[in-house]
Amino acid sequence: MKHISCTVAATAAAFGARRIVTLSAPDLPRMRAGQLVLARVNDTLDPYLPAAYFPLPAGATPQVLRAAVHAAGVGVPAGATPQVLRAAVHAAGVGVPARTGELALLVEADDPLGRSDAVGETLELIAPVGNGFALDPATRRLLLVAAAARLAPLIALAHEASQKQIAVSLLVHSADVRHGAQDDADLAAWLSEMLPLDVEYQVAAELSAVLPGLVGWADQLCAAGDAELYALLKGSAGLEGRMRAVGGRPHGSRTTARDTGSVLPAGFAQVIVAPLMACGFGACQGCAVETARGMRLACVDGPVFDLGEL
Amino acid sequence: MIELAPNRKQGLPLANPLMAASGAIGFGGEAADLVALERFGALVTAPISLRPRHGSAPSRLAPTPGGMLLQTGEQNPGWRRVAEQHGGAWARSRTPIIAHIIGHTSLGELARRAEATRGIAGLEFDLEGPESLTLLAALRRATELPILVRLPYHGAALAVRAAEAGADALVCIAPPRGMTTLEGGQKVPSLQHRRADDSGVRHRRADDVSPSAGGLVEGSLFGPLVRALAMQTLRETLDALAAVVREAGEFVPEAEPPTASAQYAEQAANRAGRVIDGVPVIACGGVHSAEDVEALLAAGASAVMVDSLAWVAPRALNALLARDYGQSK
Repeated sequence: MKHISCTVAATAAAFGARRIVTLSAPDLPRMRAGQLVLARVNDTLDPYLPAAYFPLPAGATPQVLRAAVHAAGVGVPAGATPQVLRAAVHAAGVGVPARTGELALLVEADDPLGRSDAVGETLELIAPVGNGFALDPATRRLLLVAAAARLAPLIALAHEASQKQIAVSLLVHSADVRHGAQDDADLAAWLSEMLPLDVEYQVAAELSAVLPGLVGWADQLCAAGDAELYALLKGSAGLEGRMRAVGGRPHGSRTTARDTGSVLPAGFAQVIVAPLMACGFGACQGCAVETARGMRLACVDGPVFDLGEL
Repeated sequence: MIELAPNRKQGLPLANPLMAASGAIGFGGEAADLVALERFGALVTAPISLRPRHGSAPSRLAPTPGGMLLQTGEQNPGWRRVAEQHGGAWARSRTPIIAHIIGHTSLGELARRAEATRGIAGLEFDLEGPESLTLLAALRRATELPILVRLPYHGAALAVRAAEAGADALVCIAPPRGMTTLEGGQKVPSLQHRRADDSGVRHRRADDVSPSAGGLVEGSLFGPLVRALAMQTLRETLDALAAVVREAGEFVPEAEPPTASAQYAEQAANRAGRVIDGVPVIACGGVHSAEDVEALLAAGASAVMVDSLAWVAPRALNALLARDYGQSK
């Protein structure tokens, strides 16, 4: 963990009223999906608490794709969509280069970082905070489930998993951003820009119908949402069916039944719980999360927790 | 050099008037990547009890305009685990480590363990009210380590009695209590006012707040506004101590020749004056700038503690630590 000074390099529309903010951060350490940054704009103490962000993979933004296509010398039409650009990069076999020194954040509509005049603003970051998702080496089918407002860490994880040749399916719960069918379409279009070509995704306002089948398909599940979503996951019929099929010990791992009374196998379902944080290094103890193994701090023990222990 | 325990044989000398308040840097090493710990005059640990405390249930943090409320329930794994995890860093530290101890019947045992732990140069203890004075007196009897006693906001009336009961230095102030209104949908149901007891039992007040409809929650208040409260209690405390010393110096027996009771009163006054004369007072709360530090030193503080700045803006804290404040008093 370290201090990083950075500058807002660009902002662009994402989906709905959300925006992507790209930061120039030359000293940024490598971050894993699920780790977060704490950011303070300028030197003011208002708001008092730093803002927490889960970075998007910098290499996923359309700007980076265009740069990669240009560097590979691949001819694509002017105004090509990100999907076309991504396909061109894929076909050229060059891959999307890792962009060191850049950080992309998905920000809410009312976030001051998303203002068009925020370019040039300086920020102080503390990064990386916490531990990221841990993909099981045996995982071949990964299910990602996210509330639309908390998508960013799972997009980063989708990129990590795709690079490891893991089949990924992303299910996005759009209820928290949805005002109509057009919002779902906007979100789906944005996902097509941001995700690797081999990642399947679907946007749904109601998860209960599609979740059981997907949970039964997956051999690992990672999620970013709220307590309601996690309760839905825990109660998923698909999960119960899967447990019966594998005898409760996928990957040969122990279960958490002894601690929690749950039948969830340890490590199978990992979820993000990120309460408000003041320090990010475990001193203030403000970000406590109650688990079957006692009180844990999201900033040092999380923010990724085993769903079976919550 | 600043001496925080002038009446104690081993003393508690500080090379720098800036101290880390209890919890600001955790138990010692948590902030090492971000904060120049070696530049502090002393580090006060997060609260440590004899046995583990689970602390308050989540959520523990609520933003307020210009600050925040925090209710941890003094979560800690107990002295043995803390010493196992951080004892090495304490022993290596060139900065004095002051253990903030909590409990009631266990304070004496904590003091004995602290005395036996390398690197621990003193203790800090929260005086919550007059009822805590007997605990302080017992703690004083149990240890030769310097004892810093943290007073509550408006706690100056306790200052003289704390010094008489054995405080080597006084700290103004412990974080004051505050309350805020939650907006609907914010799930902060368990900020609470009761502390976990010695058994580590947590107290929930979930019924105080409806997470969906919003409600009132309370906790310890942190933020720049606290500086004004700290400065007021600092001044009141300094005035209270000075008054005792002045009265001791001006004591005139009522009768000539002095009666036994008058002689006793004179001796008591002189003893109080000696004990209290020179007791350092440390300012704590709301410090966020070099101007804050200088203002509190100018107001009479012997040293200044920094708390939540270490959490929310550690780089700004490093800038404070890089400055030379000279040696006060």
